[in-house]
Amino acid sequence: MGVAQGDPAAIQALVARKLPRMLALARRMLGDASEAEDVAQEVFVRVWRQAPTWRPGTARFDTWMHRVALNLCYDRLRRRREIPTADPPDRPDPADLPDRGLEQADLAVRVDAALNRLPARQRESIVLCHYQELSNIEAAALMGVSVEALESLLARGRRGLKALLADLASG
Amino acid sequence: MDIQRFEELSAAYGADLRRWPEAEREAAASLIAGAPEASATVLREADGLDALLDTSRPPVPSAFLREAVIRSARRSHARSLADAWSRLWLPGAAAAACAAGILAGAILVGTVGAETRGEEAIAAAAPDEASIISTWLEGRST
Repeated sequence: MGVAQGDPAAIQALVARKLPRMLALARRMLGDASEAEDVAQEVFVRVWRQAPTWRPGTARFDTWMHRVALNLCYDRLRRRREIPTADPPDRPDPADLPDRGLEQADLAVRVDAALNRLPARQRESIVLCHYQELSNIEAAALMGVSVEALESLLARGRRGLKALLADLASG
Repeated sequence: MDIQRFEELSAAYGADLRRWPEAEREAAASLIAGAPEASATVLREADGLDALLDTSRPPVPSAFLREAVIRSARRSHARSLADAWSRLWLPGAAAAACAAGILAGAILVGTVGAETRGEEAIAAAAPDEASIISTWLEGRST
């Protein structure tokens, strides 16, 4: 693999393809842009370390990267619970946000805020299946649950979002 | 597939059948063909939330972040080369450290802080990661 040999073109191609994906995953899991950048960077440090041992075709590399990123996200979520900060990340209550005549960007802010209000496991299921577009089997394996349990998390998460965004969903 | 299962899948995966379990898509398509009105009602409800979710756009990595990630690859590769070189030519812990220091020191400039932070993150990663990697990567030689 070119990455393992330090091939600049291969490295750039991998970064171009995977960095946005890892950043999006971390951003939606953590609800914080700066922390998401840290996680995305840390995922790639891990990638470079493993590069010499990669064998093409023996792993679904994208899933492995998701696993690393999710672990790092959960480390940070745990740390937040242990060390409450005076200045929490950008996670407004969606109910406090404007709900009439919303532009697309305002809508997105409200949706992100609602997503971040969900319990972490429900959020994770929606992020993996809806935004990262992983299959149910991949998502369930990443989360260490059965497909049935994944479906339950997804359904509860979506119900929670509907409740948080009720005024928008009905309109 | 009955309408109840169709509703369950819609409540979990949304209105886009491409997100549904692969094994159930064909049956879902048959149900849609056989019961267009009932299925449309179910899907319409899920589609409202899908549309809201899709208003959230993924962040675009900054050029700074992209460059930092690419720099970390160069640093890691340089260190791998230094390690390999030291194993080949200068056996022994002291010699390895010396070789790594010479090569890595020549290439790595001003990166100590960022690298340390990366290593801490790796140390904090999930304990089962090593087994995942070893399972997935056949023929790992070292």
